[in-house]
Amino acid sequence: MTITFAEFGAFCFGVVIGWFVYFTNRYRKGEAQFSDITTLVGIIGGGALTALFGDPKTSSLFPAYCIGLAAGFFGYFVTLVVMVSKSKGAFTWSWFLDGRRRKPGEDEEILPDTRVTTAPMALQLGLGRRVSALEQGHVRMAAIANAPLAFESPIPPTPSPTDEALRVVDQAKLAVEGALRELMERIGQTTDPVKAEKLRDAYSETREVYMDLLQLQLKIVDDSPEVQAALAKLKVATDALKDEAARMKEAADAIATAAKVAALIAKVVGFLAPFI
Amino acid sequence: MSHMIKVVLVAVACTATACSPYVYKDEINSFASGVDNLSDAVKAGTKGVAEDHQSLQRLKWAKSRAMIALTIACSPGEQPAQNTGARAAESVCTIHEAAKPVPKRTAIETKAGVLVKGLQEYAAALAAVTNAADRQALDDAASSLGQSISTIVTAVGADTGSAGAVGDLVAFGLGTALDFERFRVLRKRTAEAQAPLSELGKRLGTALDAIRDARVAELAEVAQMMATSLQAMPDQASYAERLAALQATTVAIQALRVSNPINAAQDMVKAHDKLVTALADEKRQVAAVGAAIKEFVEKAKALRAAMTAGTTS
Repeated sequence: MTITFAEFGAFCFGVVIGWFVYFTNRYRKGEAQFSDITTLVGIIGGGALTALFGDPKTSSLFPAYCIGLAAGFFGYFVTLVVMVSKSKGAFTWSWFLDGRRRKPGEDEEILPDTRVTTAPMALQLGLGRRVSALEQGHVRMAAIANAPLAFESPIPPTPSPTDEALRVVDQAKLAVEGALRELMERIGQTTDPVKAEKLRDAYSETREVYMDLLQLQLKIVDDSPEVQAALAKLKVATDALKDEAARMKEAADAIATAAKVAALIAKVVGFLAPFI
Repeated sequence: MSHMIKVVLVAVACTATACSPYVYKDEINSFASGVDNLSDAVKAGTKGVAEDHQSLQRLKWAKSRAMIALTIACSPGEQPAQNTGARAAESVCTIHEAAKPVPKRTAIETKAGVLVKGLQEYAAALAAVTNAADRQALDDAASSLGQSISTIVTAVGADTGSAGAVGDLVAFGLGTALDFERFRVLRKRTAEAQAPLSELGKRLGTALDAIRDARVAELAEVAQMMATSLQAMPDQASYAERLAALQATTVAIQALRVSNPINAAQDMVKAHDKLVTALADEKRQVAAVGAAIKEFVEKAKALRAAMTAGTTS
């Protein structure tokens, strides 16, 4: 079987695309992302280009491209196998399964800016694969746990130190508020200016005490460990929601990029089609 | 084949709408605005207390015709010392009664702003996840991609009908998958936030209540001083002006007294609880969520208005 120059070219083109697809998959981070769709566009575009140079139903260019694609993709893997076998024990077959390897020797180092592979082979299922039913059960249980009890609990919960401190301050505030009310009433009822002035001075001093109690109340709330813990937990939920909101935009950006690449390919195809 | 694909699309759409994160978009946006109102109430309240405190100080000095001096921080070229504790007020250019300690600039200090900022960020993140605008951007990008793929397929002479339908399916599938993931995260994270938000709501209510009481206390004494000074007004015009200011101050006091910061914060917690319950319920409870959030927003607005009001002449 003789191979024409065109078929050899289509084969090489496929090798390059296949090699690159494996390379991209090897170095992607963690879970599969929607930006990986750009590699699919490359594969599809490559196939479409070979169809330009001959009838896809009778020409052997497309098959040659497909063979090259497979050769490039699996060739990368075979290359990794050969390199592992010649690594003198630094890497073993288990590296392909879960990425384990021997630690570098004393005279060896891995530079910090070296690109890290996430998986030598196989798909990364990551943490994105969850059982929906278990999650729904978790959510329902969380809602039930936080819902008010349908019956009166016979044993009241023990108040926290913060609640106890605030209760004491509230009692002191009630007492001072009573004193302020009484002073204001007596100021309104007296016609003696000297006595009224003394009552106003007393009111002013009592108000200062009241303000000190309010400041104490605010400080108890500001410094309470419950508030700090709650803020930290809320921040975790907030950050997760922000990340999720950003994913839609990242996906839209990735698809927009893929659309631009596809549009460029469409222009090239449209330009070359009349000449074929 | 195109007809089959369309049937699949419709079937998936019917399933997908039950898990759409955009159903509560308006309610969540209202919730976020309610939290913003609480934040404004905290800022207005603490600022109001500071202004009332200074106003009261001015009235006392005016009454006693006190001798007034400037702090050393008012000198040109003088670098204010980094005083702390009781002398911190001397680090800024201000006035004080001569031969007496510089009064504190504010009557109270609080970190309630940090607390409410955490709530604001959470509410904003909720609103971002339920934002439909970026979904529209995704649909537009996917549509553009589908058209480009169709153009390529047309140019190589393949079946454009199938290519178009496949493109539509891919675009729809991508968007639906992202929507489903968004709904899943929204449901999970709101449930996780339920307990901390309840705790923060309780403490924010206490803090707002203390700020409200501080404003009432300061304004009450300001009103006392105004009432005392009425007889000393030199002419009828001054008397009328002072009387108008006194009446405005009592109106502000009354507005603060009838506002209920603890209830406003509790309504925030209740509204969030309704949202969590609705997200976990397959039947959806849009009306219940909407009613709870509306009540919270109204109380938050009223509190903000009360904290903002008040004359300090």
